[in-house]
Amino acid sequence: MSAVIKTLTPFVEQDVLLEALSSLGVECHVKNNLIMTDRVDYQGTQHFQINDGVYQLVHDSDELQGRLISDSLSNKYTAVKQFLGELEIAYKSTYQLKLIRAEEAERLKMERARQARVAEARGKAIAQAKEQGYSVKESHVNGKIKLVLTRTSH
Amino acid sequence: MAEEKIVLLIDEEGVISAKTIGFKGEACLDALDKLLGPQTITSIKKTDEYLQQVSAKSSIKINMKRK
Repeated sequence: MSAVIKTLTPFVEQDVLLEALSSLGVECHVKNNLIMTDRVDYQGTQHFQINDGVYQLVHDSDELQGRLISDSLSNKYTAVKQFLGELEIAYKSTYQLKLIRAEEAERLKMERARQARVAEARGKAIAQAKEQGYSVKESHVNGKIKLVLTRTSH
Repeated sequence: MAEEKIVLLIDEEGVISAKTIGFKGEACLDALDKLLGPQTITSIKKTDEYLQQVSAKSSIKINMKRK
């Protein structure tokens, strides 16, 4: 028979879950909306399937013949309860990193937009000034761009 | 021959402040309109120079907001 164990933190984001699994050294891949792991038991490959928007691990309830596909001395099968406990910690950590990365990306996007606005305003003003016969002297004052436009009228 | 001067300050957000010196009357507004185009002007401050001699050389300060 198979069983489902629920953790406290719902695994709702596939990319976060995949990164968390990877950080634990779990080899996995996505197949038909299932996240297949390198953990196997009597029922076959242990995998995450999505139910009501939450990924849940499907495995044999007794973990009969539980093992890793590539069991080795340094990489041994761990019981599902322990595995999910470690995964929960990794998921939380990965999710926090994702939030930080998203905030940083947003900050960079805003900064690039700001720089583009300044460059556009400067470029347009200089181009128009030269077109209208002004001489242009540029300097920087307290983080601002100062353009002094001068021309002689008759 | 008279010298016409416009001082533009572009702040960190791309907002332009302008000050004109040596224009006659409303010519300063026309000059800024030609120079900066249809941007949103948020404020115009006519300086003492402008108020004292509209017919003579005038000076104003404006703040323009990006569209």
